[in-house]
Amino acid sequence: MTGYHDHSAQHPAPPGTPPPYASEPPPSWPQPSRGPHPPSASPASPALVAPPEKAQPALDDGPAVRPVPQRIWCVADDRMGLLALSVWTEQVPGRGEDADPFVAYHRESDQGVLAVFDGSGGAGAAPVWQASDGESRTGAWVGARVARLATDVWFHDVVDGEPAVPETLHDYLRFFQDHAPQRRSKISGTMRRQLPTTLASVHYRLVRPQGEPLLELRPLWAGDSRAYVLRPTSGLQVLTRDHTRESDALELLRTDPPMTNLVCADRDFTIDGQRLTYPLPCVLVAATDGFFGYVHTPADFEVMLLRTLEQAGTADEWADRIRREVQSYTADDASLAVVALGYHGFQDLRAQFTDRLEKLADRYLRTRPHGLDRLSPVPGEAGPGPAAAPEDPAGLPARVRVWQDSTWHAYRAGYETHLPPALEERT
Amino acid sequence: MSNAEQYQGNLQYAVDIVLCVDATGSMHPVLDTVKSSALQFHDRLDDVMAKKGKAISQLRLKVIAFRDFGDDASTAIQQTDFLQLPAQARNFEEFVRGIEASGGGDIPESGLEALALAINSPWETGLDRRRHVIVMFTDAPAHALGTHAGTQSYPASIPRSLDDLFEQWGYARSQTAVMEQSAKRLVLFAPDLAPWSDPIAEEWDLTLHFASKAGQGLEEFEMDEIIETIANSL
Repeated sequence: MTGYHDHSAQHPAPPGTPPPYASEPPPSWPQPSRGPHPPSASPASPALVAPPEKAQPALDDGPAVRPVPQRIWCVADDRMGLLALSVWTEQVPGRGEDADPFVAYHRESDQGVLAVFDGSGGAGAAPVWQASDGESRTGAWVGARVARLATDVWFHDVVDGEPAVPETLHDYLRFFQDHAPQRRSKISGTMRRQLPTTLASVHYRLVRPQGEPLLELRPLWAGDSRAYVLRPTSGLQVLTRDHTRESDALELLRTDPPMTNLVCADRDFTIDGQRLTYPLPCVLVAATDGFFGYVHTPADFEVMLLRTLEQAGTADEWADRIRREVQSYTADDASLAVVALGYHGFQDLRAQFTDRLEKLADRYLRTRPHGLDRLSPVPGEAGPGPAAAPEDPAGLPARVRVWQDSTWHAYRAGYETHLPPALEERT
Repeated sequence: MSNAEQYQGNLQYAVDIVLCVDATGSMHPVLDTVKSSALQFHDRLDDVMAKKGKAISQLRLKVIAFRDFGDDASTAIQQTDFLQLPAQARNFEEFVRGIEASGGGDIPESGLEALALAINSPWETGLDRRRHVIVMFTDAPAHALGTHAGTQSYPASIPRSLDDLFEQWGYARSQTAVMEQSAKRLVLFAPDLAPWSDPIAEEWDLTLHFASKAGQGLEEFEMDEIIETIANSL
């Protein structure tokens, strides 16, 4: 098992928040008459994968000039065919509103969960809590961390028999949000939310219906963070549908519309879900929009994941390359959780995606309009297609638009294979 | 796009902001602050957005100063076109400096007329990641729409009821909206009175409301907070 955890910015937890996997709940923890109970599992039972305590430096960032707001963490357990990593970065040091990604696996019952949480700064910008160091924290900051705590406790209880369904996760989130610090704000209005956050998670369980192992997947989400499944043959496939009025992923990139549903303390919210089974091996991904919302075409996110995988020699290095890559293009806090299941170690994982990356490079990198960004092909090396046309800087936006439309057209069917219908379209 | 090297396509925000400013007598104590802050608006918004890591590809500002059609129709509305900043900063500055707090007559003002004009502004329809933000500064309730429809210079295009104005603002799957659902925002610095708090702040979507005290200007709001709120709404 390997792992490192680079903390350049350590955040204090909201008051009342117990440490992860505490052996005893805090005495003052509120207890509902019926509903979730606080974290109770000891590290020995059940066997959950948790971030290690020890911090180590990130890979080759050179001499430390300034703290880089980021954390990465990974674990590789070849015996279990399990590889997990998470990446967390913040745009403004000390102000990141994404919570740490949550990744846990219970060996005895062959089930796990990965989840990300993006506190919504627009809806929850007002300060609601002051940390012991005097730092004031916004409702978005607190909301994301409270949702993470609720998900952590929920998973402990799922291991003990609680159904892993949207309704139970909703109840845990509601309970913890109700008991989290809130402050009456002088700002009101329909954009305003108390402790607003997105949540995108996948609960997975290994099942053997006819002897062959399969993964039973339960994506659960609220808001516009996303969960995916990634395989060498089919590429990245989204498992969640953003809670926005628009659902076309390219249009979402172009318009960045407001959310119609997200976890919050002061209004009703919905935890959306679907259920599917999936063959092994596969990679599960959960990400906030800092990862996929600042690219030029939806395929870019998969390209980023696979390019960094190809360049890395170990899982740790993959996590660090992802961290550096996202910091080079995003304009938001960004967090990501990845769990690869059924591969024979990191080298096998990387080798299996080589052909897929080559296919993506042909379609989405070599066709890129010159001047779009640093991923544009070098003049003279471009293949056929729009990139080979004479370059006219004034025409670049139009060329980008044509390229976006055509690449999205080629990518969309595979990407949307498991896209669930909109809430209102379901019976 | 003059510099292809800087092209970031859909990753920047094209921001249109309409500032609706109550220029009646009761705003006198605070109007100078609002005006001076408006003049710094471009730099400060740029600064706040940069701190958030968000880049603005285009910023246009439009100002609508309003008073009361029932008091003096000739001064009830003064407005600019959309002015592109920083290129048209001088035009913006001249207009803002010229706003004087005066008149208003009875307590309610013609704030809804200003809001209607703002909603029907010629918003940017090209570029990506558009944001169309209306910011209302007032310390008074508003006359019902159409109350002074017969007066000279009352704009004929203004809806005759709040329900009709709501139709123009739009809602989920609305067919009558004149504003883009994904782009629009309404930020109110207005008293906790009808129509601002109820129904507008409570029922219209994508609103933020700072409740001010009626008749006491907007002293309690720091401009930093106002800019921060607008930036957070983008």
